[in-house]
Amino acid sequence: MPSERGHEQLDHTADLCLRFWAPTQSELLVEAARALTEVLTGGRELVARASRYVRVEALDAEDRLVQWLNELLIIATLEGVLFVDAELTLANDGVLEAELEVTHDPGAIIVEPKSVTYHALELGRRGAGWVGQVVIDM
Amino acid sequence: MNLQRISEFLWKIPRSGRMRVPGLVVASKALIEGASRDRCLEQVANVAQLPGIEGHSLAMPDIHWGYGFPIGGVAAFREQDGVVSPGGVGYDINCGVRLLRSRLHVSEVKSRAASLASALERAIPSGVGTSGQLELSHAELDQVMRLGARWAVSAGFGRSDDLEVSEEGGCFDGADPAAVSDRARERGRCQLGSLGSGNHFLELGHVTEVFDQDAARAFGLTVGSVTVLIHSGSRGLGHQICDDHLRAMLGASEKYGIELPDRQLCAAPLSSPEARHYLGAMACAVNFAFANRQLLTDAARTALGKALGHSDTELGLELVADVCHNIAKWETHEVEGRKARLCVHRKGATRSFPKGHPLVSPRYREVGQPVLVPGDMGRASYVLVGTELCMKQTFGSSCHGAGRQLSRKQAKKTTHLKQVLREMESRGIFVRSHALGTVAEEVPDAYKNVADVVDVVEGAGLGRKVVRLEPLAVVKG
Repeated sequence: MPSERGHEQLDHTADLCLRFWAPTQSELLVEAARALTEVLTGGRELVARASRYVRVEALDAEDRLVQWLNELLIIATLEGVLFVDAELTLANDGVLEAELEVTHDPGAIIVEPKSVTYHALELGRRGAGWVGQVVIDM
Repeated sequence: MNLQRISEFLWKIPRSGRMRVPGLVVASKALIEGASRDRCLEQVANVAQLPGIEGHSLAMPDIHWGYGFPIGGVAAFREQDGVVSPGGVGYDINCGVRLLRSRLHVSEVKSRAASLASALERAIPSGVGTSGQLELSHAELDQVMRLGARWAVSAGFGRSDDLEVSEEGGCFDGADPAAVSDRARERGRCQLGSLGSGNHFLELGHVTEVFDQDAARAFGLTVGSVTVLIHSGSRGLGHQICDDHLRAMLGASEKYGIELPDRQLCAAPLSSPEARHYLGAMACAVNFAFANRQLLTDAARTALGKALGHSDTELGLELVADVCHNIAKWETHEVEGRKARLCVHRKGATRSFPKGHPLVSPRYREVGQPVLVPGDMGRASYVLVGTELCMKQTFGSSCHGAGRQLSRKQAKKTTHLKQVLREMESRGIFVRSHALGTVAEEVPDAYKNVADVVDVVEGAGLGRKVVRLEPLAVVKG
């Protein structure tokens, strides 16, 4: 991990594995969202044009990571609304509330993944920061 | 991974740890070496840990690393103590393939393959973010989810003959639209009649070789016959149904004390309300996918008729078969000399029933069920036929394709796409797609050679080769 926050795409035979890291869990979830958006757009530069509120109620922190990314995937594929940045509030019971900065740009989406899966899911502290991993069904 | 070779094409993963049954992989030495390079064999062993699994956790020769179940995975669960796992079906519920034959000979279309590829691309909604051919009302969507391809035919998208040769007659029993969320409906409502993206495709091809004359005659296929293969699934509706029910199943696994080696394998006892709810919703997606492929068929018939200036009768584009790749269904199989009702999960696998089986279309009952095995866009595809041994060894299941050997990332990295497409064009194969990035992930070298895969199926006695097809024009999603 070359810096305190970032993400990378790892090899997976049929699908796509994303790995991300950040100093805190909230920042990790934002980094995961960036990684997903990079997949959707092929890394296209996006400028926020609107805001949007998102709430996720999950079973636990790992489930919250999956549901958060799936929420962003669905608004992208259903409405063409893409994540640019977010302010997150996390509660211990698996709830996430986010004020998203977004842009409506359906033309920027170059792939349409089916879903973020629970396979090979990772979320936890690593050293002074946090690390996570998801596999996306492409 | 401890692997024991038990015959030329069968490999056993002995029980260990929490495995309730052994794993059994159908593969040659070369294919098993390929499979050993990623985590798919570990996934076979994980599936073997689920409650009520019967016989073996199985894998077909096109096995590769998926999520939860391996792709190419088959598992059957007992009615009394087994489970259903949405991860054993996957997100693209009833992703499947259908084959059409025609009265055309390859010599009539070969020189026009490029323009036919373009005509099909224009006619078939495909790629990212595409809407389908219809925007359904909520009541119509309910009908699609209940009736599948039967709805499509009654709405004028095809003919009743199409239903006779489809798995389940193109309509899966037990659909419960009340078990489908508003979001799933919203994702599906505008997508009926669209190919989707990823590995979905429509391919104009031709028969290059006949291996089994009797079966080929029954399927209406002769050397030179022009064919159409359509590979698509349940689009956003299926993805969302899987997603919704995975969440419910995570809770159910905890509630019923099911220990999970991978959360994607979350499951519920077949007798539970959670299982019934999932199976009712899954059936809706199965039917949506049948209807989707029926609309795509209709669009292909119209486009080819128009491009070639032929009437429907002259074209004679008739459905040979429609088979499901991702599904969980109740089937009766013989277990230790007795008939047993089992919930068979096929994830990237095809039902492959032999001659005489009552569920094989009456048209094919004397030869067996056609098993469609698409390869890659540059080499070949095959049609096989089911065998008795397949019923005994793999719960009547066979392979569903070639199986990936390169990751999408590796495929993109190692592919000079323009060069690959030029080389294919020099061999008379024309590819059209709105997403060249996807095409780069789907190049022939990304896949195992399907000829090796079907040779293993035949060698293991799970199916017999009937015909070989080669592509002429490919529309990639």
